[in-house]
Parts: sequence; structure tokens; C-alpha cells
Amino acid sequence: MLHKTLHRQLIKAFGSEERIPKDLDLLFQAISDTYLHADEDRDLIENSLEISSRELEQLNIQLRSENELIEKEVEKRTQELSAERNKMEVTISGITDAVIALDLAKNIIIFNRAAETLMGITKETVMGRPISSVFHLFEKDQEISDVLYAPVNNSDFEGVAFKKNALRLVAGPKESFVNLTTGQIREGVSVHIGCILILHNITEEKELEQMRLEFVSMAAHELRTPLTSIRGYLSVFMNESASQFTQEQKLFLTRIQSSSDQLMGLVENLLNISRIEKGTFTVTREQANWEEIIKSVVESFSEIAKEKNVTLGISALLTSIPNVLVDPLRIREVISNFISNAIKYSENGSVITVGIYMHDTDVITYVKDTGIGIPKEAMGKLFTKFYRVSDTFTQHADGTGLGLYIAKAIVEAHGGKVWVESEVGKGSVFSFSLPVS
Amino acid sequence: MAQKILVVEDEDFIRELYKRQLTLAGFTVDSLNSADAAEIQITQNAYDLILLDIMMPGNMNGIELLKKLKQNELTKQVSVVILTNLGLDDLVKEAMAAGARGFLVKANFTPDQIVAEVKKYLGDTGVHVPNPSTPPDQQ
Repeated sequence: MLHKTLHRQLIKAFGSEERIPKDLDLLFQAISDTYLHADEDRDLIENSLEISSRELEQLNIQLRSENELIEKEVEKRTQELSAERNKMEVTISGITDAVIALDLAKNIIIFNRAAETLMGITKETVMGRPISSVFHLFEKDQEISDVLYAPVNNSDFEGVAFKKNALRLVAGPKESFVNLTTGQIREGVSVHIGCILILHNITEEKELEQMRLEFVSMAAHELRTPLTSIRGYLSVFMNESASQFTQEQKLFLTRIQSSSDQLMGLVENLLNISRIEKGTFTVTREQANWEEIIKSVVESFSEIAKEKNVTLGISALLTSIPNVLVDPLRIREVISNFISNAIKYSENGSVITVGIYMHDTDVITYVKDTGIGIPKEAMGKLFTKFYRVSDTFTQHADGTGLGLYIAKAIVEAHGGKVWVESEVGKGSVFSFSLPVS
Repeated sequence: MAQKILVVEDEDFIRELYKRQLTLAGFTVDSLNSADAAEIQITQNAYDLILLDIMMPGNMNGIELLKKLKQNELTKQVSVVILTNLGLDDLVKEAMAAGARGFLVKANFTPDQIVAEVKKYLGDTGVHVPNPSTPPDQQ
């Protein structure tokens, strides 16, 4: 039995089946076998190809579905990430304080909406620009360098790197007042964040404060006019009619006078406070003999000291005291304030000593009493405005809590310092320094 | 003949008190309550000293009057001492620069001390800053 194809070719070649030479049967059989083998091989190949193709198709389907899953996952993650980022951005932009982040070269990389409003600049115009080209900060009239308020090279540091209140911020034509806090984080370097600035706008508060100061100043001025009249007429009245008064009437008039003097002192203090707070408190200095000034102030308290049975004296000088450059009237207020406090807080029969000594190039003046002393917790607040030592201590005296605050301002305007040492029950020493002219 | 003094001060009580005390001290005293009125008065009468308040209602304040007086040939020799309670430092400086001989912070003087200061001004002719007085206000 010959292979069909071979059989067909042999018939074609020899004309009919009968003509095919019988003697070549063996040869044809061998060729036929080869054909058969070839067929089998081909079937085998075809089969396996068919199987592979089916498998491939299967795999392909599988792959596609897996791919879809991954894509979905990626999309989901991307959405989550962007939601997270949006949340961060919305949060930062929604913070009502200006938030500005700088990279390690001090270029702006975050500038939130409050920052835009505060400075009147859009985010787009400042992103990537150096901070120093966007705004300037001033403390009073002194500009603060970005080296101070925006440190970026301190990679080991974490926390508040700079903090200052009531700074004047100038951004283009816009001016405002801010409290600035600059933060640094240790990981900052790895994400290229040098520092983060938070600016809290206090312009409105500042304006209110200004109005308050204007009001105090105006009120004090207005009070001074009728008071001047009262004191003027009273003084004339007492001078001209003294001989007609009974002892009691004299006492009443003296009390009216001392109350109006006290009121004037208060008004003057309020004026001084408003000057100090407005930054217009100045001193007009001249060369003065310090010993003379001290003597004359101490002398002016001799009557009051006598009345309270307090011994007030000047301790002997150990060295000669050079002339000082002072505003005599203002600086007298300081010594007067210390002495009058010492008398106020001293018991009957105690001793108050005023002394002067040199320390380096400073003249130190002190007023030492053996009075009730000042409790430790009060020491730090003594020189602040309206502060008065509380409870048992205040029963001894009256006052507004302005005297020491003003005294401190006067001494500081002279380039000096004030300080106090005290022990409850033993007494206090109030001192101040003045640089030698 | 008594020396003539003009007090220009818008606060009635103060003006009347100063006028009274100065009159008692032997001066001839005129008093006015505005710079505008004072300008006319000064060009028509000779005064040995003018006590001039700064803050006054009207077209002019004390400093503006002082400047006008110093620019006028007729009145530029007149001797003016500034009265102040406002005591604005800048205003006082401005007054001194404009030719005032000195200033008196009303709140720091009794009327009799004011009289004493006036006598000092009339006794000498230089510029003179009185004592006692606290430094004027700075605003």
C-alpha cells in the first residue's frame, strides 16, 4: 500500500496504475514509508503547535486580566496618594497663618493662601524665588537678615530656630505687623526643606494698640489742663489766705494740695508710659555732678523721712565719682522713686542708705532699706508695668505699679541697667548703673 | 513805667490767673485768647514780653503767630516765651528755632513761679531755659 500522494504522482508519471514498473516496488515502498514518516512528523508538529497556540491564548487572557487588576490597583493608589496630597495642600493653604517653606537654598517651595493675602502677592510669582527678594522684616527700624530668621544650614537642629513678635513686614508696597516663628526639622534635609516660616498677622491688634496709646496720651493731656488750673488757684489761695485759716482748714487745704499733686504725678506717669510705649521716650543729656544730684534728691525727702521716723542718709564715698552724662530731671525721678518706695515699705525707726560706687566704667547708685523685703516670686516682675507685690505686702502702701517701670525706662534710655536684691523681712537694695560720660 | 506783658492763652482760668498774678507783681498786663487777636494787638502795641500758648483754636496756632511776628520788620524784635502744657517736643523745638526765647511748661510751675520766671526773662536778654521743668512731651 503506497502513500496516496506518491501513488498519485506515480500514476501521473507512468500514465496508469498498470504501467508502474513492478520491479521498482521496493524502492517505491521505501519512498512511501518516508512520506508516511514525514506525514506523521508533520502531524506531530501541527498538533503541538495547536496546543501551544491554545496555551498562549489562555496565558494571554490571564495576563490581560492580571494587568487590568494591577492597573486598577495603581489607579486606586494614585487616587489615594493624590487625595492625601490634596489633603495636605488644602490643610496648608487653609491655615490662617501664613506658611512659607524654603528649600536648602532659601528659595520658596510652599507659599500658602494666607501668605498670599498677607503680602498681596500670588503664589505663582514667588515660587522658586529666594525669600530675601520677596519680603523684608524689620524690628523697629532695624532690618533682620534672613540668616537669622530663616536658617537652613543647621541640619542637626530640630525645633524653633527663630521667634520674634511684632515685626514689621514689608512686601512690595504692603506693610503689616507679624509674629514670626521659624521651625526646622531634622528630616528636612532629606526632602530639601530648609525651614518653615509661620507668620501670624497682628496688624489689627497693632492698630488697636496704637489707638489705645493715642487715647491714653490724649486723656492724660486733657487731664493736665484742668489740673494745672486747680493747682494754680490752690497755690495762690494758700499763699494769700494762709493767715486766716484755722489749723483744721490748713490741714484740709494741705490734703487737697497733696491729692492734686498726687493726681498730677499719676497723669505725668501715664504720659511717660505712653511715650515709652510709643517709643518716643527720649532723654536730653548733659554733664552733671552726680554727687550733687544725689544730695539734692535725698534732701528733698528729709521731711517725709522724718514724718515716718525713718533715718535717710548717704553713705560715705570711697572713691571720687566722675561727672555723668544725664538728663538731670529724668534721672532724679529714678532716685526719687527708689527712695520713696524705700520709705513707703519701711517700718518706723528703720534706716535707708543711699550710696554710690564705681564698677568698671559705670557709676552704680543704690538705695538700701531695712524694710519688709520682696518675695522671690515677685522679683522678676517688679519692673513690669502695673505690677504690684500682692496680698500682705500691698497693705503697707499705695501706688499704681508704674514707678519702677518708668524708672527702668529712664535708666535704659541712659544706657544703664536697674536691678534689685532683696530678702523678705530683711530689706531690699535697688541699684542702677550709669555709664561714665 | 511798668513793663508791659501780653498773655495769649485760650484757657480762661489759666489766662486770668496769670494775668492777676502778673498784675499784682506790678506789670501792666493785657490778655487775649487767640493768636489771631494777638497778631493785631502786637502790631499796634509794644510789649516787653509775650507769653504765648501753642495750641489755640482759630486760624493760627502760637508757633504760626511767632513765625509771622519774626518775619515782620515791625515785630521781629519782640520777646516771646512759649507757654505749653501739651509741650510737644517737636513743637517746642520748632518754636525755639523760630526765635522764642524759652518755654514754660505750665503744669510744672505755680503761678508765682511763673511770675518769677517772667522777671528772669525781663532781667536778662539772652535765651534762657528755665528750671524746674520736666522735659516737654514728645509725640
